Amino acid sequence: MNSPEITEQEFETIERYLKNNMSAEEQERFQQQLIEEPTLQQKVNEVRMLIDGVEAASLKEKLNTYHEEVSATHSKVIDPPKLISTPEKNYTRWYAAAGILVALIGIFWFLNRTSPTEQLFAQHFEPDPGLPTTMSTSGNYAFFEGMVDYKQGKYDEALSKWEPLLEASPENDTLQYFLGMAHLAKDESKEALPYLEKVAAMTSSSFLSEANWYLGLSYLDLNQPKKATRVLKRSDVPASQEIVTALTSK
Amino acid sequence: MGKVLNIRNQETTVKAIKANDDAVLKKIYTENYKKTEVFILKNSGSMQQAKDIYQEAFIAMWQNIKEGKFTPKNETAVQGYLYQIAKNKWLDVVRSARFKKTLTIGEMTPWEDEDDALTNDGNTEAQLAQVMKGFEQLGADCKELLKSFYFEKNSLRTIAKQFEIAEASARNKKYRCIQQLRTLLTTPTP
Repeated sequence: MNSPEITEQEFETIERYLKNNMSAEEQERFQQQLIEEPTLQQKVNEVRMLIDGVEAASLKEKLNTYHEEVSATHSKVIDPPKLISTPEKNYTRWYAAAGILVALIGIFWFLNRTSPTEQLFAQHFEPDPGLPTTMSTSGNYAFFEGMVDYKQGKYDEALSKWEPLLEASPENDTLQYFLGMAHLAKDESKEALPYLEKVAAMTSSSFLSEANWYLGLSYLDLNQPKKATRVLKRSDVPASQEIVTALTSK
Repeated sequence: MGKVLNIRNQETTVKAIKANDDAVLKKIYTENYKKTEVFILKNSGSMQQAKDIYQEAFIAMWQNIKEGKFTPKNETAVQGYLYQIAKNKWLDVVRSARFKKTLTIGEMTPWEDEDDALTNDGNTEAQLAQVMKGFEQLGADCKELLKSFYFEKNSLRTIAKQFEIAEASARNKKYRCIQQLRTLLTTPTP
């Protein structure tokens, strides 16, 4: 490093510049000077390096005092040879614990979420396709309007159209059946039960077999396999026998 | 305590580091050392090497924040950055020819991708190290004065009081100490 002489005044000026302590006017003048005198730029660089070095060296002294604290706590707790191996061991143990915990939560969630019966429900449930909505059967306009909604998967709208009709004709098995179906399709098995039970009790209903089938599925979803078996036995939907065997074989 | 805990956001963290806030620097240093130590010890290093590398990394981190090369969003970003520099620095050591001679391949663990952008460019870092070495050779008075002014950011008035001299003398003394440092650098001791 063959550096030019820096006077005290020069040094103070450069320092002011580096520390951003110059007035706007002085700074402008200094920057102009920097362009004109290449040696000045060299001096600025050197002073910057010196100041940085002084600061860094002072920091390093500080770091050594900080370090005394770090190593002091170390030697108190564990001896160095142990230190090399313990952290890893510790971590693996924690990772293992975390892994087991995650697995347990997963199993718990899985069991809670999908019991075998619920799985059967999910596997077999498909909403009734609904009735044809040709306008020739205009006798019950509101019902078929609800049926249009039902077929489009707008179960809430279908329910809101069908529920008022129930008051006028509480014994209408078609209405009861589809009210139950709409609830079931909305994943509301509990709400579907009273409607489907009613239809299943009407031995003359043309929906009897289907009502028993869906009632069975509702019970499955609600985790009541015994009730499910009982009603599924009355249904002649082919899959119902499959489920019955699956339930009774356990 | 409150001061230490209150360095959550970017502005205060950066500000505190730039101001060489003792509590903040100490907190960052002590809270992050262990991680680097574990890494270096696991990768064929010694406790002494862990300390040296960590301090080098700490200074590089501080320097880059000071120069605006790295703007941490929060304290966690500082911690991650510090660890990354230390890791890279240690991997540089492990890869160096001298180190390789002392170890068999089997003893070395594979290293991860390096990120050269993190470490300072070699040239300035070497120069800085030279100045730091020169500083160590200064007299106690000069060291004390320069440290007080440049690191602790004390005013010349405070320093004048501290040394029981006039402010103008303090300014002159500072200049002379810097000159001494310059001479030490231009005529390196063998």
